[in-house]
Amino acid sequence: MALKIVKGSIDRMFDKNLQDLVRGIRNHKEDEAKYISTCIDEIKQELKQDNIAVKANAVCKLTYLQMLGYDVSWAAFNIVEVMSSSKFTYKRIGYLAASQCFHESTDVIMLTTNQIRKDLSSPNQYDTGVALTGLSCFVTPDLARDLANDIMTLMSHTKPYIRKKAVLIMYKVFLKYPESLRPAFPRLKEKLEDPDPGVQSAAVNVICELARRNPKNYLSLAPLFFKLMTSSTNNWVLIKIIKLFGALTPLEPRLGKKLIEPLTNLIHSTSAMSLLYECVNTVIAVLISLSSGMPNHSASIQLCVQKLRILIEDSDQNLKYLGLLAMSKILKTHPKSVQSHKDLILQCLDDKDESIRLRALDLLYGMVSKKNLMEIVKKLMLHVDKAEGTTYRDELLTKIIDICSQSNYQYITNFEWYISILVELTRLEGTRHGHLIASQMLDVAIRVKAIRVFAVAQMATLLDNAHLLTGNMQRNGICEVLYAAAWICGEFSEHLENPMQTLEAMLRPKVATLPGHIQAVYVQNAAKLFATVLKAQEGNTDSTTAQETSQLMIDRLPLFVQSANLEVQERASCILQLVKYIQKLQQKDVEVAEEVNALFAGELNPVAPKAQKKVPVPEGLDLDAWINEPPSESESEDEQPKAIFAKEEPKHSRTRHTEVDEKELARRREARKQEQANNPFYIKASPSSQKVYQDAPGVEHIPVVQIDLSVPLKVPGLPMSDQYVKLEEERRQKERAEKKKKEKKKRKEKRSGRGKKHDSGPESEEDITPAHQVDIVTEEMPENALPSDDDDKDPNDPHKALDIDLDKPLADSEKLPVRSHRAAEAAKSPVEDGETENATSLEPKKKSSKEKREKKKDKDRDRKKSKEEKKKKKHKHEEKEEDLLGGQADEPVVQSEEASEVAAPPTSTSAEVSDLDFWLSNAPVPSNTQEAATVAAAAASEAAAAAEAAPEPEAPAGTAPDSEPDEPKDAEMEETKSSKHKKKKQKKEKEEKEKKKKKKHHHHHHHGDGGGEESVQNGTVEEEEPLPPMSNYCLLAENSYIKMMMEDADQVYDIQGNLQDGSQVVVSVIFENKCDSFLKSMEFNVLDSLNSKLQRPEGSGPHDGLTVPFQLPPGVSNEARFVFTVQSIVMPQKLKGTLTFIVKNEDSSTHEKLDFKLHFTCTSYLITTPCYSDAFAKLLESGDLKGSSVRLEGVNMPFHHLLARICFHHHFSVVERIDSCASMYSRSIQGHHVCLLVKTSAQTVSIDAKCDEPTLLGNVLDEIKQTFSQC
Amino acid sequence: MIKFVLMVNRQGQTRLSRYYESVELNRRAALEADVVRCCLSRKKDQCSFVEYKDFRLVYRQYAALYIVVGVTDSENELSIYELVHNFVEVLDKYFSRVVSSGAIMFNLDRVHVILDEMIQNGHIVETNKSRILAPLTAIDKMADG
Repeated sequence: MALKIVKGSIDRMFDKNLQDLVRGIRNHKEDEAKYISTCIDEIKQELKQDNIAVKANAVCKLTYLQMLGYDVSWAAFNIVEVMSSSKFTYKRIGYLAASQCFHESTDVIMLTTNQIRKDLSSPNQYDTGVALTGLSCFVTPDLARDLANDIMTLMSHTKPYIRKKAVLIMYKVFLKYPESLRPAFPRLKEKLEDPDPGVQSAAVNVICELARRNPKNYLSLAPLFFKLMTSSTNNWVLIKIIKLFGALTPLEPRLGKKLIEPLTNLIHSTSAMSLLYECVNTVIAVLISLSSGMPNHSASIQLCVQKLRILIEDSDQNLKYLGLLAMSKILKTHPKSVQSHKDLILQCLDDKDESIRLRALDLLYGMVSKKNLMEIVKKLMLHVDKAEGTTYRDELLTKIIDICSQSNYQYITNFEWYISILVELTRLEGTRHGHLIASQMLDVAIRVKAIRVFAVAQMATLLDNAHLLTGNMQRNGICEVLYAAAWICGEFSEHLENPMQTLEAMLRPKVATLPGHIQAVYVQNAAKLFATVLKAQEGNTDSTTAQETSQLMIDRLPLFVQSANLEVQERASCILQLVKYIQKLQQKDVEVAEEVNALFAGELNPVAPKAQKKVPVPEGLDLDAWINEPPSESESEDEQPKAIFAKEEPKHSRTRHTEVDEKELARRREARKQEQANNPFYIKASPSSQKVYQDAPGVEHIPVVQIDLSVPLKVPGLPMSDQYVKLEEERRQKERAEKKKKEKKKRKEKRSGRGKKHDSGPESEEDITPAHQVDIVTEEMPENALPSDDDDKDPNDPHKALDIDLDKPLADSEKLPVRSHRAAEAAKSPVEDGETENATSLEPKKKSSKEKREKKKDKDRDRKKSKEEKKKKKHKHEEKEEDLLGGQADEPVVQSEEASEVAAPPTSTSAEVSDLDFWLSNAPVPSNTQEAATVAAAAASEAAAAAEAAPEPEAPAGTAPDSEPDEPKDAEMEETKSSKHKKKKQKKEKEEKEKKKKKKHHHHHHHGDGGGEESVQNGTVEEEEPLPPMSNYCLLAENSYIKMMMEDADQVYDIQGNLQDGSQVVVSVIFENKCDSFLKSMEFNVLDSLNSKLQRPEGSGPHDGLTVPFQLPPGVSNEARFVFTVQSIVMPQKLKGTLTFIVKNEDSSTHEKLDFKLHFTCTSYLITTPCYSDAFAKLLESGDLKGSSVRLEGVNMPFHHLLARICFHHHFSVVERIDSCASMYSRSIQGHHVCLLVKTSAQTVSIDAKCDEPTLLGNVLDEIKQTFSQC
Repeated sequence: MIKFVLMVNRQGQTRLSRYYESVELNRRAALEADVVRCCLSRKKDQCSFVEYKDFRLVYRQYAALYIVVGVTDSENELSIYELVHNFVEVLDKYFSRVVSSGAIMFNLDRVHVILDEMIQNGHIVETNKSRILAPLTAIDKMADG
């Protein structure tokens, strides 16, 4: 019975899985917490069971609860238990829970090290995958150190699935354990050229992320990334790379120059918005880093701006938003180009989306000029009125102020207008930015002397109407402006028309409801006003007004004396006593005005906010030293309050200013004048403008009078800023008219001389003279101010530790920690697997030491080839025939057979740097052409295509908003493979002795082909022309518009080793635009034969063309790859094809076409495959192969040249060479072995060949013969 | 870099959360609530990118389901926007129907597997649908067998 109950309960518990839990929580909405706590109790019970299935189920539920916010850290150990389950279904749940719940301080993590290591080396790829994914979430420094080597081994795993995950997690490992970066980096770099696009993209991700933080260490990778950028078609990867370049260019401006062209090409050609956006962003970043000396890049900027305009005009809000965002970046350096799109930006202000409006506002900031400021602000003011929601309105307000006040009020020509804008802004309900308006009012009034009269009048009106601002409690933020108003009226009270009235306004009982700090200012400034009134009344025989004023003060001040605010109280009582004393004196008819005014004498100078900080410490002054002996403990209590008082004193005591003697003042004034003279923003008084304003008799538009009469006032006495806009317009017009008159006069005078035209043209920025003699006082800074701007970096930034020089050779000590107590087999096996599979050789397990070295060499070579090639180019002149073996043997070698292997071949830093220099110093050519230049042929068979001129409507490039970045496609896989393959050939090419000579020859040829041979007819193929040595590009077809060059279809790959499906051939075609027009809508089509078919996207018919995925601006070339399916490979094939395209001129576009023939030779189905002599011998012995032979007469070249040619053109590899005899091997994509024995004597070469497919062999031999007959 | 991925329903309840930067448990709830409020309050005609504190949010709405991704400034918003769609397409393909928050909740672990195949330590690893689903189909076969 008891057993039954137990069993039942187990069943019940077991039944409650995640789904039940989710449903249960849904059904217990009222008492969710209670339900969950019972569930947790159940889970605790379940975790006590021995059954791993029950535990896993419990952990799965915990993961859900954790997501809901419940702490499940108590179950950490159980999670580890489930992680270590041997069943993948449970293990996965364990790892998921761990990745969600564990963090660096979870202590059970240290228990997991061995479990994770075991999973990493599991034969099941999903075990490894799940461990890697989990690890990426909770890796600790300890785990990183212990597992770094295991993960690094996985980076060379046979399965791309594992490789890509291992590569990505290395980033986390680097962060946690920076020492691992240098040992692991060579392999990571290798992964940039991994055949699998996924792995490649992972490596790009990691390096981009590393390089973004410490770009300078990765500068040497720029050429590699550049190559990737120009060859990859995966948009995700492209975006990353382009982003990386954005980070690198500030360090190396030359890189920027190189980038501009490929990037602009991408901008032209891509249809993916994300990529376009990224390119535009990077072009902007590049141009910013170049900033100067690049006059011809205004075209690029124009292009960016145009593209962005398209984005902004799009109906998709996302594109609009990003367009504006990017536009604001351009604005910083190229404001002119953006300003022409003002209309568009202003339109965006009306957008229904607030975030778009905010972006547009940001842009407006940089777009204002003296000319358009008023107009823009007027528009913004309209928006302020319309705006719903305070946040947006507040944003508008701050933007208006930002726009107007930027660069020291650079764009304001009429400060009266600005003050009235500020006053209008005070009518905003419920704004938080009262203090902002206030500080602007203060700043303008203090610094622009000419405006004080006007400002004071406005402020007086504000004070008079203070009830409008304070009437509503909601408007509390705005009462800050009263602070400014009171201060301005007090400080510059000499400009007040009716100080008595203002004084009265400031002492109204209502003032007592204002915040304390404002009241304090009121009180203080009431005293200033009082002094002014007294002064005005001085000399007046009738002293009643003065006495009335004193009485007013004495009547009203007691209200403030009672204030709860200490500051107000103190000031009020102080001033009250003073006034009482003055009143006494007045009654005795004593002249007091002079003395009272002395209280507030002196000029206030604006001081820069940082001025205090920048005062240099005088020599010999130690701020930390005691001035007096430190006070005793007992005294300190009494001292402190005094110190505080002393500190605050200067803030309020204005009498200090009077102490400064005249001399000192004069000196200061002089210094200030000098500073102003040096300040470009200081608007100097121009006598002419003053004249215009003051001495224009007979003009009706004298400002002040008119404002008062005609402006409908919303707040009594407050002028509308619009009026000023109108006035300003008129003023400017008048000025222009006057100028013209003057010019006319001048011209009249000159007319007798020569009839030179002197058109004044449109009004330019400089022509607009300010309405006033505007005196913007600069903020004072102490002399010898230190120009220090402390940029403090975050010392806690984990990336700081990764700032490691990666070019330095690895020291012996720099190895990843390897376990010594465990057998290394587990970790080793994947490497070995990888090797054997990667090598695709028939290599037996036991290798002779020589073979081993050779193999290492191969690997080594792969890694270094690109660099070496560059070196070679550089040292062309000193290049000598180098024994390949000898040359390579010098290079340190990777010992990849051992698990402890971590080191990569050291590379000399200087060589690396100079390589980069060399790469960068090349003229900025798009790499495709560059690539083509190094390998491209110039077989000059010209094709005069019949061009039918037919105007075609412009086909707009797809700008679909949902354009999705391409998914990695199989084609890409091939592409990377093929590029690798190609490099091998280049390598071979390198072995050539007379490279230098040939290169020259080749270049010569290349240039030559553009010229003459126009007469050759259409359709000729490469064999008719002598091939320049060692090139694998040949001319396909050419007309006056475009040149097509084909890489001979040698990049043949069988995608999955599945021979029944037929094999695939990738053909690279370089398209070069030869004319001055834009080429677009290119379509590539081939007439399929039974045997070979062009692979077309799903859904398209067998006769549809393939769209070439780019457009060609003039002079640009780009490369496209096409995939063909081939059934039988034993015979060579020719395919007819047509390229159609549209030639787009400024005013017309024509449809053109170009015919070509693709020639697939049998050689092109061969893959260079290394083979070892013993395997080769076995193959020959096996007797499966049929023989054939050929003799070449009159071959006049060194034997190794001959071999190199066979290797290069026909994709063979040398197995063994003894004197003038060599064995060679190659394999077809369908697995046919081809063995050659080449012998030479005198000028005769005999080739004995064996192959399991005689037809193929015959054709290959024919092709070899043909190759040499051309020499 | 991607900081987190959130799936929430219209009521603002979290249906799935994945963090690629460790955030304390008690701060997660506050962050999620705040982020969700940010996104849910936006109208349909507003753009899908929100500046939030020191990073950005990219969100997409699918019927009652919102997917919110927090990314650093260095990320390309549009590509993340497409990634979200790709993710939903994968979910659709796997669950072979319109994704609802119920399907996600009941198969939380599987959704996590999908997500882990697509994003690892804050970076996009895979976008090919069949390759993303390969491990999951393997798991399902394992469970069946």
